[in-house]
Amino acid sequence: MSLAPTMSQRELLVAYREGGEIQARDRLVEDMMPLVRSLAGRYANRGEPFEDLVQVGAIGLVKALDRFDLDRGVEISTYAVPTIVGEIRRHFRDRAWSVHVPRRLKELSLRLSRTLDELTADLGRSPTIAELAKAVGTDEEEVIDALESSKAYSARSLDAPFDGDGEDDLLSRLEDRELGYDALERGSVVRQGLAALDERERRIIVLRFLKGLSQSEIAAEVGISQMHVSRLLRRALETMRGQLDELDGIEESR
Amino acid sequence: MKDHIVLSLPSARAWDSVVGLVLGGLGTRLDLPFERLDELQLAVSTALDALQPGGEVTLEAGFDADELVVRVGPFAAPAATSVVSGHVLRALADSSRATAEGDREWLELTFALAESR
Repeated sequence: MSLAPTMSQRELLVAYREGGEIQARDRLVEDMMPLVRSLAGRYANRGEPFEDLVQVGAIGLVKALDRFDLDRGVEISTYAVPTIVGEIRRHFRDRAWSVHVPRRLKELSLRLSRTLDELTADLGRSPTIAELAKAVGTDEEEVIDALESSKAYSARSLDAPFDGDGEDDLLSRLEDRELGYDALERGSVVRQGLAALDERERRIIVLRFLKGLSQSEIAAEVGISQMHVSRLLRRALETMRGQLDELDGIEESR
Repeated sequence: MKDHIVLSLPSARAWDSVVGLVLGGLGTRLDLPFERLDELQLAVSTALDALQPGGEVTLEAGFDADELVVRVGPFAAPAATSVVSGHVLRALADSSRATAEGDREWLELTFALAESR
């Protein structure tokens, strides 16, 4: 069913909620993204990439569209604002550092994340630690320390459902020869490990280990920073290993 | 002839960051790009995850202008070559192989350096 371009937000919401029209929801999301971007902007410059905040805010918006009571006499935008803001705030809470890391290292880590992406783009290759140190105006040891510290940075917020771009059925596609699945030993075991991951983690694992993309290429494709890709890879491998240990009945793991 | 760094430490996650820092320093001295260094650290971290807790883990790094060889162990065989870690290590390192010493296994990872820079 095609939607009339003149439909109001309320009509779109009714079409989505009562008629199950996903197109109507997508139109609403598109219409309301300026609101999401505006709210995300309030939380910019607090150490999180603006686009990540917009993405998190969009998740809040979809939740609001799903939960809004059509019988209430308020505009959907009025209802959506606290839901979007709540989602963004939860994002900040979830991204706590899992161990105590000095403030200077946290700040340096965030600067390095941005600088790494910028230098990779400028140089056309991955920069060395010396180049990173020079770019942020510190010494190499400090950079190494900050990079190691950044591994203590929780990425739990990324557990939120990720809207992939057509790769949302990776598990079934893993058996596709184009992905090189045949190259894996005992594919079903790997499949069980992958099943423990969320959609974004699975996507990153597939892109890195089955499609052979570099971390910077994955960052560009998924739309997150290289350091974030690195953290997600670590967490995904850890989760897969934990899942397989559990299935194998291994009692102890580090 | 290769230069060597040898590090022995308790086999527990709490000490993994020490390994990360040592590899970070080594990668910097070898002028590795960030991505290569990160994958070296990820490979060793993946190998360390296969260790049983308790006891001691030793990491030996031998390097010259052409390659870096990292030897990690000892593992209770055949943990070092499990399906996931085996595949991951093959993807991250230029080569990986397990060698047996008695009832224990050591994992050897080789990283080519010349093409990394």
